[in-house]
Amino acid sequence: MKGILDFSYMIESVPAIAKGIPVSISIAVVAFGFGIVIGLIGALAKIYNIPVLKQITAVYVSFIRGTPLLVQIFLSYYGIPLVIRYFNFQYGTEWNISFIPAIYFIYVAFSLNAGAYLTETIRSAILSVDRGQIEASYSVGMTTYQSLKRIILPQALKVGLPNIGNQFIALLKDTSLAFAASVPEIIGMAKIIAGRTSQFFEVYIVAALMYWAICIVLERAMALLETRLRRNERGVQNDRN
Amino acid sequence: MIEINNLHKHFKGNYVLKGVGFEVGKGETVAIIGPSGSGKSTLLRCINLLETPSDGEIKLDELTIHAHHITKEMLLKVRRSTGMVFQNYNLFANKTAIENIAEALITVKKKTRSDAMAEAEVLLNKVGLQNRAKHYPSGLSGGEQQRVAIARALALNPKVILFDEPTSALDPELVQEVLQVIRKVAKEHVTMIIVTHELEFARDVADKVIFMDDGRIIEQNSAVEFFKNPKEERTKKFLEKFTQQSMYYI
Repeated sequence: MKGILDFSYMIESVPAIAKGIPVSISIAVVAFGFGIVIGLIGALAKIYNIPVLKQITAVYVSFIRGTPLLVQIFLSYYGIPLVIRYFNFQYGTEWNISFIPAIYFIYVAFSLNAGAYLTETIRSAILSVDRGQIEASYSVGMTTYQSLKRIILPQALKVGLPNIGNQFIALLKDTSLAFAASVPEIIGMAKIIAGRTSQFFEVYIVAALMYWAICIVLERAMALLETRLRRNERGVQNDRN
Repeated sequence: MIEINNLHKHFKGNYVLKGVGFEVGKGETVAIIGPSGSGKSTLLRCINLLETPSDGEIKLDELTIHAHHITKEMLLKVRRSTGMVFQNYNLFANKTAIENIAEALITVKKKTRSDAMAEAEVLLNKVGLQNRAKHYPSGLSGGEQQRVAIARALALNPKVILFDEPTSALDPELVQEVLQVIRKVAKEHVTMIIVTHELEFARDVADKVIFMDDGRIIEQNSAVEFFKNPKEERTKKFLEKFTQQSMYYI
């Protein structure tokens, strides 16, 4: 045995594993996009006490937070085809389940998962905005929608950004679970490659370094965005005159 | 032009307003004074429906609002024809001074951004803050923030401006600059209702003074008469306390 690690094999395996990077990122981005929309609706339903929607949100958030993501992936992966089959049978539709790529079930599971956590994050961010800001916008005759869009949400975003950013990073790392639905993301690719040579340790180190590198980039980006959003705490727009 | 009739407000069994009624003529300045907890601020907040009155009637020119039939449309109408200046300024934290003033012109009056900014600049000049246009609220002193807030309230050219203790949160040395601006606005015959603890200011600037205690109006009169010859016992006591207090300061 030459040593603990076979470095040349690690370097060789990089291009093949890297093919999983776009898949991992696409899962994170799609889930985050839908998650923000679901989270915003859920948060507003809770804050404005919208009947029915509020109760649905409560059960949904509780279920997602109370079950492992892996289980949610399985439920989506095995459950959605069943539902489609039922529709085909009941309503005579002819959707072909085998033509739906597995990644769509992953998108559904991850979007619902992200949406539940983002509901709480966005809710607390909105509630952190001073009540006086809402009253002031109402006092000049703005509608609830205008007040949310122009005054409340921009301020909530500033407060919520560190948390939302953390959630995106966590989400990106969670995409490693998608291999369970045989989606070829970073870990999925790593498993395929290592399966040929049984050099699992090397391959997983390469995968770990890839996640780490992506997360470092994300952290930087988040820090930049935060500084930009915090510009109005410096007191003056652009330069001080 | 403004008429309040038999206004009631209670929060879960806590009766804050117990049938308040008064009138304000066009261009008049009315000061509302009284001890803390007497319902002054609640009364003001009921007028622009930031609080929903429990009972009673509010008339703003041709617009009549009954406490039990308030539609969304009415709510916006009332708020668009009233301006409010808050105790804690409540400037939009994510907007610069000039944007704060322009905001309602853009969203409510649907003006273009450049038109709104031009109008906002005129108002900013009026309150003497042309050199602070691009400052965010966090970069302004309390007095400056409140002057911007007054300009913001003026922007929609409202029928009445409601001041909710506009100087209570200010450092003593900043009070005068804000009162100066309010005096200036009063001279232009903008209708104003001012809840204040500054009795001297009330005497100087108000045409009419209303004294409230325990959710009711105890006495209302022209400012001169009110301070010279208070009629009710409670008013006399309140004013006495005030004059004694100011003697300590001297």
